[in-house]
Amino acid sequence: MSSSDLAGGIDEDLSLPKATVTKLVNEMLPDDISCAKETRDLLIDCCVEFIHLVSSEANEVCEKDSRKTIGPEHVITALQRLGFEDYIAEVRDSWDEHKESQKEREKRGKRMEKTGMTDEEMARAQEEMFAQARLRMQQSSQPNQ
Amino acid sequence: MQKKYRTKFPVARIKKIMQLDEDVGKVAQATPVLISKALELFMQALIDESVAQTRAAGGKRVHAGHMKQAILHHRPV
Repeated sequence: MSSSDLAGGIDEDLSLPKATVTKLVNEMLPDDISCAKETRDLLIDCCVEFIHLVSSEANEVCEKDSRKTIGPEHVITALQRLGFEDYIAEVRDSWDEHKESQKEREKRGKRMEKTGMTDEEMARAQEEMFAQARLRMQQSSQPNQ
Repeated sequence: MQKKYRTKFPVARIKKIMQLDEDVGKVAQATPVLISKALELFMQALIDESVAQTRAAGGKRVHAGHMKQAILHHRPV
């Protein structure tokens, strides 16, 4: 009877994964300071609240823009309006990075060229791997005979 | 400079949390990526200010009360 079995069933406690947050918190804390479990749970609540705050503001910006889809630029305006303008430069950087990685993915889908190897180099590498595999097979079959 | 934290928030989860709000409709694919980064910065700020409270109290472990103090003492710009 778990609600997560139902497609589209809204989980009341849909939150951020504890393990991920714990890892991230430990990366963010100074080496000599640790964090109580209770603090981490409180932090998760704050994070979820932050997501709601920013997306709600972004949604308003989006509606004023008469768009149906909340886009990245709406998030940036929302951060500005909420007083988080300090975050904008870094957020833009991660947007650029994301665009870059999407482009890379497209290229990779089309061709294998992005390995940085020429066709001959790839053929040679393949030949080498075959040779190694052959050698391994010979070595492993010898003791048996 | 991006390699500061190795751990990332799951983007799909962030999108789901965003859409718990019934007013939030369609979300572009890149949008949760930006929210995720903003969240990371928010989390770091909250941790930094809480750690300052922990140190002021002479402690080595951040307790919920330290975070509460950090939030109460935060001066919005």
